[in-house]
Amino acid sequence: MWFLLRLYLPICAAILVGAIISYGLGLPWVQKRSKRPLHQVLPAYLGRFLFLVGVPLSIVNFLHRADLSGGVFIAPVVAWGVMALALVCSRFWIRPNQRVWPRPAQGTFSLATMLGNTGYIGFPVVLLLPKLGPDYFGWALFYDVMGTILGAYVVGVILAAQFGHRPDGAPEKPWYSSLKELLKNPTILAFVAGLALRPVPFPELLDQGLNGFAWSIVMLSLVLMGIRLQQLSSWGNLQRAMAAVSIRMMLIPLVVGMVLTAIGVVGPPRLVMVLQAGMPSAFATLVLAETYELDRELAVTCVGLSSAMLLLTLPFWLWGFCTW
Amino acid sequence: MRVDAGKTPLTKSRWRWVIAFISLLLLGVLPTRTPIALANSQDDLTPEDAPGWLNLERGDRGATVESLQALLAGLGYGSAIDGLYGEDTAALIATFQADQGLPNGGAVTAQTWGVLWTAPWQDLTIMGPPMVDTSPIIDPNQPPAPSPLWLVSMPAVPLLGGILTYWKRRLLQATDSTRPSLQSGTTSPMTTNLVRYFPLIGLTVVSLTAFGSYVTLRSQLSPPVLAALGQVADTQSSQLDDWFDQQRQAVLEAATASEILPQIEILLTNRNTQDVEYLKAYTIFSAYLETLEGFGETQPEISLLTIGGIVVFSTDPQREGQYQPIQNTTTYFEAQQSNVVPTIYISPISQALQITFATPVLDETDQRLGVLAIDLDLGNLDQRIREFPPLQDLPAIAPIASRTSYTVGRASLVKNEIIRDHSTLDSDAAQDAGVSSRGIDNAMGGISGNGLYLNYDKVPVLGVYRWASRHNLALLVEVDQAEVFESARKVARNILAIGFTLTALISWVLSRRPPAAPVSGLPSSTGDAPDVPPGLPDQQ
Repeated sequence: MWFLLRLYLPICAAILVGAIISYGLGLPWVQKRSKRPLHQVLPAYLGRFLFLVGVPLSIVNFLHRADLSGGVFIAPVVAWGVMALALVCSRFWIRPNQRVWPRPAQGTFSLATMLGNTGYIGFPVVLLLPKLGPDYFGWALFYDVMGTILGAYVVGVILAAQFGHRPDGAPEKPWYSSLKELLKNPTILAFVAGLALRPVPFPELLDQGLNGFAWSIVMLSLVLMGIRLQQLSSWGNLQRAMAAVSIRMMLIPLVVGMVLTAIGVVGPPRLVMVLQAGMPSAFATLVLAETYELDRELAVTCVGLSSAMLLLTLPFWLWGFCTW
Repeated sequence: MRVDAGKTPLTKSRWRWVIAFISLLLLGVLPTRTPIALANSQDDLTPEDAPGWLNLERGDRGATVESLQALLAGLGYGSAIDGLYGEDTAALIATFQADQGLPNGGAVTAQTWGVLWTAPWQDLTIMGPPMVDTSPIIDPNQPPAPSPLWLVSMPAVPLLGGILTYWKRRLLQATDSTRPSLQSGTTSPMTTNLVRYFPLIGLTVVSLTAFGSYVTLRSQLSPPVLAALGQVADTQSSQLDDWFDQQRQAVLEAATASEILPQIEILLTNRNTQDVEYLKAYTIFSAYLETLEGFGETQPEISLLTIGGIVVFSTDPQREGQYQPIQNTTTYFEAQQSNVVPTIYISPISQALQITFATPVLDETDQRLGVLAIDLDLGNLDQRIREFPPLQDLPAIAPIASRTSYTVGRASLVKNEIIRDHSTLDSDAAQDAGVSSRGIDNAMGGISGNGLYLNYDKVPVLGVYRWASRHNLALLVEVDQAEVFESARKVARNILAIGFTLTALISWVLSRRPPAAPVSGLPSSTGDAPDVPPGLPDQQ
């Protein structure tokens, strides 16, 4: 179990650092001394930096050294399968009691079940896990970029629009407007650029510098996770959140793992897919819930609860699907 | 017309409940129990379970008795194999049973067979236990794949369940058609929830069952394979010893042939390579090397060096006249040294691992004339090691095609490489980075053991690794996990296929019924939200 320590130590340490920073910035005497609310400004800037610069560059770096052989293109298929399954399962959970579920809560429930945090926490887990490492980053990346991100921008937006309210007075946007957003997404641009740059050998200094930068981005994104988790305030709707998180983090990875086993995908690729399928609910759920006036409280609880739950589920998936 | 509105829905829902429960039970219990029970069956086989031919008594005769006698003989009980269960055999059986602490004086039961087959008999070459290929209980090392009967019967379960459910529902519907559909206050909320959440429950149960069976079977499959790999590693270790001993002996023999000494002396001292005497000596020496038998089928490169390290003769003519250093790379030994640990280095010519044995050529007065340096044919060593010992003694790995064994040597402080034929080197691009795996790294660190790990090619394997300190080499014997766990995978696949079908079928059947609304007055067990009277119009 020493490798769990090697995985948990950096992840927990980085998240703890983020939480402490956020807590410190939220203290009254810090707020009094700065003109702006630092505890809100800092994560916003950090998030923007990671979104626009950090994550794209680290994707280029890891994509450059990832092994893309051996059916890595199954990953998006699995990701879409996971999202479909999650959607179906969430409907199965809601349907028997549909009349007592407010529509916004239904939307949030489905989104929280469907979208996993495969980027900000999924990448670090795959990269830091001694049994996987950067060799298998390609699988995680394909899952995230071609699965989760596309899913969030297309299915997620459609779903949120269906279950939520458009802000009053806002002009009606055609459904494909979110596709334009998709094309401007730096992660996807970096993914394309990274694929294009793969055959180009980087000079050694650039290669090493980029690698160091990419690893610090991995840790920085965990710090940001910590800041955001610390600022999650509400723990309401715990029972609904429990259901969503159980489906997302226990049932779906189990089904994915067994189906992959059944069709003959074994070894590290299967573990990556199971882990990615079992990642906590994405922050994108929260963003969509806020934009489309869904049940924000439920989204917050789902994200917080599932992130904590990851520490418990990871050893189980490793025990079940990692035999090396 | 309202007829007995309180009773009928109860019966109906009870039916649904019973069917769902039975299906779940079948789903959960049958698939897990069957394969595991098969794998363990030799432990819990009772006399009643045994096929008729297994029970033997005094007076019986035939092939089964012969097998029994052969097994007994293999264990050191008697030697006669006449196919007749007479007094002698009965006495032997009684002794055997007494030794093993078994009941039944003189008669053979399934229990006796079980102990006979699993007893550590060694020299049994006459005949194996009867019907080896058909009986699932014979080979203690190999948990068998699910029987064809099981594979056939499993798909029948969902079909049967589905037909039963559908048929029952149709019948109920026919009798119900005149009755208003009314929910009874006595339907238990648990039943209702089981029905309403059936798709999720079914999915969970099926996946968990498949997962449980897979993990359990997997854990049963690896120990016998690792044990067999350990046996192979033992054999290959002694192969390694034999090969190096043979090579060392051959080198010494080649260097101490007194009949060729004059020619060697000419080659080493005469600097005029065009001299007739020199050419004659060259030809004779060359022919002499052809006749050497000690090297067996290996084809080493043999060079004759002056004391200063200049190659005067070589089976690879390009080396002649070159300087070949003997100090760091060569394994230099003399006849009286009994133990020689080879030095491994990267050959500057082939870029592959190389071992060079060198031994002095002495004249009659034991003065050193020169040095005979021999580049061992490591391709041949690799070939030998990759060849598995006879597999009939290793039933656990006999059907596994991915078995491989190889040796790894240290190429530098940070790099290990596989010993292999030079000619196959170019095809492997990973050579530059060396090879690494938990097995290789452990063995190189002097640790011998076994385990499940990723091999140097990142393929999950079951492997045994040994550090052969006498030869400075790591020996690895590995098989692909995927192949070993194949039977577990198949069981999981069958459970999934059957279970998902069954779940879908039952869910469909259940969904065709009007959904049972939550009963007013009874709290919803999911506790999702405050109760809403069932009469409220649907907000959808």
